[in-house]
Amino acid sequence: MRSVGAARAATAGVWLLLTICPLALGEWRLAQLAQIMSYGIFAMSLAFVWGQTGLLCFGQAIFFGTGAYAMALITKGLLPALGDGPAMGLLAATVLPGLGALLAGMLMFRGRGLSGAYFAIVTLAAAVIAERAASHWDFIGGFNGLLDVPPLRYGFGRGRVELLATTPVYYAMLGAAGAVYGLLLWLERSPVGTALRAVRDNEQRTAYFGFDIAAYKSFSLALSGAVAGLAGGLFVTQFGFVSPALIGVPLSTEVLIWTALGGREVLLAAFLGALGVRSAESALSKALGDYWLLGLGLSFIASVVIFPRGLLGGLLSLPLPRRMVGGGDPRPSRART
Amino acid sequence: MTRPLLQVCEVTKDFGGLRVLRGVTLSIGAGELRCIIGPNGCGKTTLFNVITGAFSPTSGTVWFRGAQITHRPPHAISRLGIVRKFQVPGVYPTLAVAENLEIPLLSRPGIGGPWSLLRTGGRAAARSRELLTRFGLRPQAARAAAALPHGQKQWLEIAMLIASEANVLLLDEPTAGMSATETLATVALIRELQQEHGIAALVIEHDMTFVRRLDCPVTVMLRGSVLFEGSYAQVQAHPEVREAYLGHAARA
Repeated sequence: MRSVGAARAATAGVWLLLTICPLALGEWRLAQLAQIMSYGIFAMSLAFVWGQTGLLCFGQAIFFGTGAYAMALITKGLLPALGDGPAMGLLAATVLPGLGALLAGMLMFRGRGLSGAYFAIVTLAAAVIAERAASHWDFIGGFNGLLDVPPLRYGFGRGRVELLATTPVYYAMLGAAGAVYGLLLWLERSPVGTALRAVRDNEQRTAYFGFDIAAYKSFSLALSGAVAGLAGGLFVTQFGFVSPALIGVPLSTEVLIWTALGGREVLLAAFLGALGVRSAESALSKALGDYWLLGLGLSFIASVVIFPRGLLGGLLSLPLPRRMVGGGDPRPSRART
Repeated sequence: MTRPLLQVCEVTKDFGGLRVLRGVTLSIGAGELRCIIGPNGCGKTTLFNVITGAFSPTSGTVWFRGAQITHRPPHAISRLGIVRKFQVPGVYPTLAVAENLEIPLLSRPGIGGPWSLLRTGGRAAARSRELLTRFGLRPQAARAAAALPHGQKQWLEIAMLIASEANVLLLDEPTAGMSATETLATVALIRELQQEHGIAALVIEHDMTFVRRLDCPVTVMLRGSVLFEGSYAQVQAHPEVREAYLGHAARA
């Protein structure tokens, strides 16, 4: 058995490696990695709502896409009332999907509420509708989407400087990923996290202990939506272009694959799942052509059947918080579900 | 006479054309124990479902501490101090033992949603370690509950019930699948909960040894109604009860 410190060391090692990447990678690869990092944040949002709370969301890209569109509309100055600042853009990209998710959650989970496959089906349908709606809405560019979204800028008013050099962009993205990771990890390890996992394991039982299940599920979906929206907002500043493809079913399915492959119960595993699959895709999809998709699908099925905790979930699963075990802290050995 | 803690008045429950409960009336005082026995399908578990809010009764009312709780949602009823244990061990399989115990410790009055929990959650830790030690589960604190042997799972669940600071426990066959020794230990534990913590308990049980050992008033149910109430000895002596429930085993 691995020592208790292994997961901690591996977690620290991953972040250290990501921090020194600019020393080792060339300009182009670093820019790629910075862009992929928004997918990593996106995957963490799904790991939170799916891995921790047990809500298999098939429409996660709705939040990502809404964030991307919000950021694009504001920084392109199409919503003059809100200015054209990147801070306002990111705020809207986070708050708008978050509020939307909260409202949707309150609607879906009240009373007996939706759970399991029914929730998955409703979110899948919602993703189809969102993609259709986005491609027919002229204000947001319809089928063609919005082009020339400006890159990240910092500073205020006329003193704003565009963030064009690769290394600062990379560190901005790494900072955002680190902040999201820290916030979600803190919540996961707080009593709220225990309650969310209890909802995941047995809703009925948790209700009988006095927890308002609908409130916890809505909270989780709202936070996940906000994080996915932030990821979308960050993505579009680097990609420079937003289209209905960012809001629909294909991207929602992709993020499910990244998260499941990495490990849905562990934030960092899901993050690395996204980074790994996207990096591999850019390297292998030219060589393998359409076989790449076949391989990805097969490895997804294999991971669900053979490694339900994902390829990295076991390695990166941190020991229980100190408050629960006091003195010694043996690592949790979670059962396969 | 003092007002009963929990009172079920003339409760009827229909599922479509099927009447599962027919005007059940039952009460339990603070710190009292009561066993409910009856053949399978007589409505014992349905009665628990009505009390805990899982089902709304077709007619009749449920009262707790003089307030009506009929038609309230399960989480609201639970927060009043009515806590239920299921037939299947109700532990959370993928959560570590310590996490399992944290859940009931967090479920205090006023803690409904995540925001209130963020403010007050940390207080549970010391109590959790104390209970783990008391039930001999400390060495297993970080193991997944699914990995515990059956007996220890039951103990964990009972520790969770104590942690919830319930006023009334609803125990649905608490000794199902237990060995004779574990069953006796469970009797002692329910007695201890009653005497030391003043926790009342309503127990559905099939194991007549258990019912005799618990030595408390017994309610016999048959086809959705209360057939008889009395002590274990009275129940054993009652001819209809013998016929309906104890059957051949009692005659032998």
